[in-house]
Amino acid sequence: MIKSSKTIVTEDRYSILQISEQNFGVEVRNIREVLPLPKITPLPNVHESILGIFSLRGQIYSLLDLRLFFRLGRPPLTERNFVVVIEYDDISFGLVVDKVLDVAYFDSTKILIPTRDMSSQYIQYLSGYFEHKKMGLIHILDFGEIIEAKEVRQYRYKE
Amino acid sequence: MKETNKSILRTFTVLSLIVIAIVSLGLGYFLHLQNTDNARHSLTAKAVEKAAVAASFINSNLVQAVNTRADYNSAAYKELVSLIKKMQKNLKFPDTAVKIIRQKGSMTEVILDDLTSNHIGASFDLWKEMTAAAQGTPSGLTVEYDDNHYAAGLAAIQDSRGTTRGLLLYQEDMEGQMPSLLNSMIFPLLAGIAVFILLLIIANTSFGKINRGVDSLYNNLRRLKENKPVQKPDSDLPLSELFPAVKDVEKSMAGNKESEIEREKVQKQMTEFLKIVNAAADGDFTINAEVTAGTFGALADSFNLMISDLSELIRDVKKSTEQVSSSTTGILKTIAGMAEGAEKQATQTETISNFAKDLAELVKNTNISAQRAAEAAQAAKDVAEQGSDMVKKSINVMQNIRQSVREASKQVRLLGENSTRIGEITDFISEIASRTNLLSLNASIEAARAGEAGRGFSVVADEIRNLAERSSISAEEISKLIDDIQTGISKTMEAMENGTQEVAEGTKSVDTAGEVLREIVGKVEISTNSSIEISTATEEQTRFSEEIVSSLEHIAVIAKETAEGAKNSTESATQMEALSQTLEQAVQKFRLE
Repeated sequence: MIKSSKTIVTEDRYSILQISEQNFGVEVRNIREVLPLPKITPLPNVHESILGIFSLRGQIYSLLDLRLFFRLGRPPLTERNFVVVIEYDDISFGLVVDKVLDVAYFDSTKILIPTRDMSSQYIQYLSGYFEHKKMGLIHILDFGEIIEAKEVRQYRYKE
Repeated sequence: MKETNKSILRTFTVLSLIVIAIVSLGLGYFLHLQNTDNARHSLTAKAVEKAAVAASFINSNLVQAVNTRADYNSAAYKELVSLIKKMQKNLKFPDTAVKIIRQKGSMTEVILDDLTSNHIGASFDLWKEMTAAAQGTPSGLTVEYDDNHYAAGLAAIQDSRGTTRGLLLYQEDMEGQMPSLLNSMIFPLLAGIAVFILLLIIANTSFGKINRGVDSLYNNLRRLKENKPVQKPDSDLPLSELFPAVKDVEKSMAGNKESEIEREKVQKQMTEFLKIVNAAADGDFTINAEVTAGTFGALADSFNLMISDLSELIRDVKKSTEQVSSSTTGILKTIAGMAEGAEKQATQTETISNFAKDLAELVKNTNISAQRAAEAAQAAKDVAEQGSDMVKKSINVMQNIRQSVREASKQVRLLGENSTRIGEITDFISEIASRTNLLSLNASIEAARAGEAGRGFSVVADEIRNLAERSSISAEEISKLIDDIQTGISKTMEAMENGTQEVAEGTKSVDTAGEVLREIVGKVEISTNSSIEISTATEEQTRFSEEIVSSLEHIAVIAKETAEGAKNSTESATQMEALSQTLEQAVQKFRLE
């Protein structure tokens, strides 16, 4: 997180992604690039959530499908889908999304901590949520939890 | 005297002939009846015998086996038939002689007929005789049908126990076996003729003698009257004893005659001649004077010559007058007929002339009608030709329409292709918009990463993104519009194709109409020609009928003249007839040989 030490920044910039008609927010600094669905090379013997790998300007990224994590509907992917390249803790990977809705500033004071009342099935992968005036409820993703998830973590090199 | 005797003899002969004929014919017929009766009895008795013999040959079981019409084809029936055939052959029966019948209740039915046809069960009736036969006494009778007499015998067909199973009927045509009427008649007839001849001989001898006696007496009396010597008859004739009296009368008559003869002769000649002259004076030229020797004779001869010349002349005149009279009558008749004919002719001619005038009027009317028809046909032809022109024009118009439709459909197709291209372009635009959107997103992300320094840039990126989104929406709208346009175009194309087809059909219909009109024009031309021909023909007819009228009038005038001429001729002929009648009356006085 890059914060100016001089000024108190109460606003953070988020990119709003849509996955299976649910809106998710991701901090812009974690997003490296948005691109149309590339040619995917599937990998054998991996979890269903890992769709395969793809090449972007000579670099290989793995492609993650969060819909299984979040137990959402999984219609087949089309060329209208996008891939968002995430960079988190020096780990880069692609995330399949339906649409990138907007890049907006959220008042960080209005970001709420998820409670048990939400009874959401993917609550463990969220760091908070935000009520947007136009787009409604936006869940803010916690990539720390996602990359530490058992399904993803098992394929990582042990250091 | 002789005539009377002959007539008596004739009457007697005829009467006796009639009596003998009736008696002998009656006798003959009686004999014939008796003979016929005897012959029938003997034939019937023979038939009964034959029936009994035949019945003894028939197997009663076979008879019992044949019951209904259905048995016509059964073995029993066939065997029965063959048995009968054989029997007929052996016993020399006639072909159609045998019937097998049976009493059944109150009915009688045929089991086997002499004819080969299926008559089993047909009814048959000779009840009384059959009952007798069934009880064992063979009985016979005479049957008559189809104007033929048959001798029939009936005998029972019995089984071994003596029960009657059926009856056998034997029948034989008696024709030819009966004594003929001629045979029966011939003996009495011959007897009658013999009696007649005998009677005739007797009558002739007795009558002849009486006759000859009377004849000789009659002859002698006549001879006396004619002053001839009497003849002595045969002494054996009756009335011969009157002869001496006749002889005495002859002697007394001879003395008186001699002196009177001379005087009477002269007187007689004179009177005769005067009579003849008087008659000639009265016009009777038929009598000639007797020419004798002496003066009277010469006078009579001259007179006769004169009378004969005169009568020749008068005969000629008479003949001529008769001829004139008959000719005049004929002429009168002919003239009357001629006058009548001429009058009739005149009236007929007038009637015909009237008719001819009417005819001429009619023909004139016909001519007018024909001319009108020709005019109407001409008008119809004009109209039809106009119609034909119209059709030609409409064909042209139709073709123009077709051309236009084809052009329009080409344009519409072009429009469709263009709209497809526009769609492609719109897709391309929308692709570009999406790319721009992505780029703007990435730009905005980059700007966010740049922190405060990229803040302005992020605003620009947002604007770009908005523009990209709007252009994407617009592109979508355009593509929707193009879709609408394309469906519209396809519908238009369909409509155009239908239009083209309809135009084609319309063209065809118009072509047909054109042909029909052409045909009408052809027919109307024929009609026009016909009416023109009629018109010329009627003109000629008018001329001819006028000529007929004038000719008829001429004929009428001639007929009237003929009638008048006939009247004049009648007068002349009547005068002539009167003249000839006068002449005839004048000549009538004379009588000629």
